[in-house]
Amino acid sequence: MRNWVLAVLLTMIVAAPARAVLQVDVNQGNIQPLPIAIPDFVAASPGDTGASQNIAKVVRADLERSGLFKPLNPKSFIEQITNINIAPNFSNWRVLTAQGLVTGQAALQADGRLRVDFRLWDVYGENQMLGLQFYTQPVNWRRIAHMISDAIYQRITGEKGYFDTRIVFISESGPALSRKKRLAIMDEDGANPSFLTNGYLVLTPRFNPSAQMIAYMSYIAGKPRVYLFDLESGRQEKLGDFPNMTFSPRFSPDGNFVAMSLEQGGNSDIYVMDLRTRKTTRLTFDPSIDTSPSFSPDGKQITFESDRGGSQQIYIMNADGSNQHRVSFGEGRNGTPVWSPRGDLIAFTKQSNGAFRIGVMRPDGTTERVLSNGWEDEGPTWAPNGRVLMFTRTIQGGRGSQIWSIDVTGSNQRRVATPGDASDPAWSPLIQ
Amino acid sequence: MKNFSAGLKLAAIAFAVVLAGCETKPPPAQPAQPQAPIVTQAPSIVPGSAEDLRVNVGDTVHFDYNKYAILAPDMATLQRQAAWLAKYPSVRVTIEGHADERGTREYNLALGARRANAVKETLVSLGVSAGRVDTISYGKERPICTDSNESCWAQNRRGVTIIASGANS
Amino acid sequence: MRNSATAGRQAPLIGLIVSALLHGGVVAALLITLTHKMDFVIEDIPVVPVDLVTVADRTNIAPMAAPEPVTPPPEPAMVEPAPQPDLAAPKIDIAPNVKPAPPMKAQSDVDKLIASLAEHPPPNARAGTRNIKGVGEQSAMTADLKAILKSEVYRCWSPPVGSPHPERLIVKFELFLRRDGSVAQPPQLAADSAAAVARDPYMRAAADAAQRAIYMCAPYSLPADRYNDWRDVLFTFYPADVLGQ
Repeated sequence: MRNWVLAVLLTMIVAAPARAVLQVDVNQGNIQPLPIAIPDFVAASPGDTGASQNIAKVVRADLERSGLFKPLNPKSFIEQITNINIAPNFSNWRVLTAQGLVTGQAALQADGRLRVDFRLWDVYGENQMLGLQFYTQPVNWRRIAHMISDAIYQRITGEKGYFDTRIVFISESGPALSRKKRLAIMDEDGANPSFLTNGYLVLTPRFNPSAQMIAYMSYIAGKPRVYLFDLESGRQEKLGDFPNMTFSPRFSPDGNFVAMSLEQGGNSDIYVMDLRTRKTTRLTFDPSIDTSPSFSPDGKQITFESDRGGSQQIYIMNADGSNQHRVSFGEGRNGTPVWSPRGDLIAFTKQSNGAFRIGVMRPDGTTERVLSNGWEDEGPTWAPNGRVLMFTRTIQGGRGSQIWSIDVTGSNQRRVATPGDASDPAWSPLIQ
Repeated sequence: MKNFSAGLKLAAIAFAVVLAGCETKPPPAQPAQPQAPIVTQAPSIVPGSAEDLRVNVGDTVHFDYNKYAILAPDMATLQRQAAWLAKYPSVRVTIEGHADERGTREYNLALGARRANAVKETLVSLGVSAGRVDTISYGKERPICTDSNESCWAQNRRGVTIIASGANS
Repeated sequence: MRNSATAGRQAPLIGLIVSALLHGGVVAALLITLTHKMDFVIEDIPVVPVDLVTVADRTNIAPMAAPEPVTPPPEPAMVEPAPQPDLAAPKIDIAPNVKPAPPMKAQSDVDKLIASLAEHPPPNARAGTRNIKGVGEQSAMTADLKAILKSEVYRCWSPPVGSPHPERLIVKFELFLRRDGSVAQPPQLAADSAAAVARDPYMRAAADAAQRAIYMCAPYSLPADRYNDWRDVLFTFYPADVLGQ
């Protein structure tokens, strides 16, 4: 430190008389979505069945949905990209106010695979920021598009994307007094929705870290218990054999444990089960409601909700149950804590002044911010990059539930496309 | 007792009316069955049946917001349930605990479990064998009224005694 | 519109290419390891040759007699301030006499400020320079220039929001301006910023955003007669201040 100060002083003394560098501190800005031009990809083979256009369309939709990009209308483009291996004429894109430009091509190979190349250009810096090539079966074109979106997002924002992910949720249908709830899954952008269960009441699904397994609660056989659903085999399995209700299952970050609540004699406490040995350890011993656990990303702590202090509030304990302490001291009741995959925040449901809203706070309970503005918003789930939240929004008067998303900054609140009403979203990790 | 029973019927009817008022959808149209013999047995409920429990005894108790204590007016209902269960010893029941929509989903599952258990403990204290009484919580998943106002929420905050087995039919 | 980056561009470009390749490689390696199940193959594609960029750039720009020299023109001899009689005590209260530039939102405000500064130079701006070297002196004489540059560049600056530690993403860019206020060559990251950019993708995104701002808002409207005071600029961007975190 002293050396550094000395060096600076020396530099000042030596440099000051010789050259005057005008030092300008910029501490105001103008936060805007990045204008980006994404022309349709070049169809580089006669057998192109539309992948070249469809990929560009999905990338535009992905980036627009993030709220951090403003894809420009392709109709306004002056230059037609015909060869992605020649640098574009940047001035043609600057006049459109584009700051980024994505060029790409799709070609069916002789072996039947689809080859997709793309380049991301800095229109003002006039250089290539990124260039990647993908080979896959043509049926996977949509995932290629999401991977391209993720790569662009990461290069521009510095953090990993979340477009190549899936959402497991509860699909709701039927009249308000006899709601049919089914376990369903879809891509992050709402594409490829499919139902996993049929008939009996299911609630609160969660992905495991490999996104291959879902833990959820089912009333099958009239007994509410936690189940596992293996996406690869379609096999469902009751988790443990408990005499009473088990609910609110959550995987540990390493996938080896499930924390959940077990109810006995009307009292709900949090337990953790080792999936390898099926051994169960009790973590809370309070005669209160202890539920909605969520592991910290390092697996060392669990945040949960409890009404042991008189009202529903957020607590943190070590993963072995020690050092239980309350962290939420804000207004109203606070529940459903979910630890950010980035570790920096806990998202939760805040109930105050007659409204349920999604909030975030630091794990020490400070710097609380309320993000959403619905009448009954609850149950947040984090994008794998810790940047965006989805949650359930229930519409007043029994008019159903919807899934909404919001940026952690509180901007870009929007409804997530689902087939019909939906609730209890859970965001997958990046797909493997 | 007879007067009481009649009053209860009235209450049940009133309750049904309230429910009907709450129901926004018209009931499914019944197919016309002019040729079927019209069975007029409304008053003759089979003793020891599920209908007997629901109509003549009362199967539902209610709770204050975010509470699970049995309210004084509901003690009479549970006393009748205990007496009825003593009369029909082969009957097993399940207590459903429900919550209104003004709570988060998992909290409400736990709250419903508290309510169901409060009903069970009361019945046990009134002499019903614990082995005959199961509990289940539906949280806020099974409302009987969907308006977003206090009168509707009050109806949804409930414990309901359902016959699991052993009833007459 | 910047359209004349030419010579001197090679070195930084090569650096950028190498950097892009390395980063792309990291992404590709990551994706490959994650996608074994799905039959995806992801590879870097070669960067489009640099020459093409430069040639295309040259052929599309307005004809220029000669590209601006890479290095700034030789420094004219510093005008030595008139020797001050030795005052009893060095005046060190110069800075307080200079009002901090108010935040400006519109060009008209800037114009007003320039006009008023021209008519009423900050009092004592030149006093005591013998005894006060460096920063104080500079800031006193150039506060108006800084205010202009800041007010122009901030409108183009959209720093990345939502990163976990915005307070760490301070970016410093050094650049040379031409007399017409345009950017003479690609801005150079200060050494400490460059080191951070190399290891932190958030920092890299922050640097990109700052560079875009510098380019987009050029040319800058600065008084030509004081070119020597603003030819060589060091911008320091503070994203945390913008995000209010």
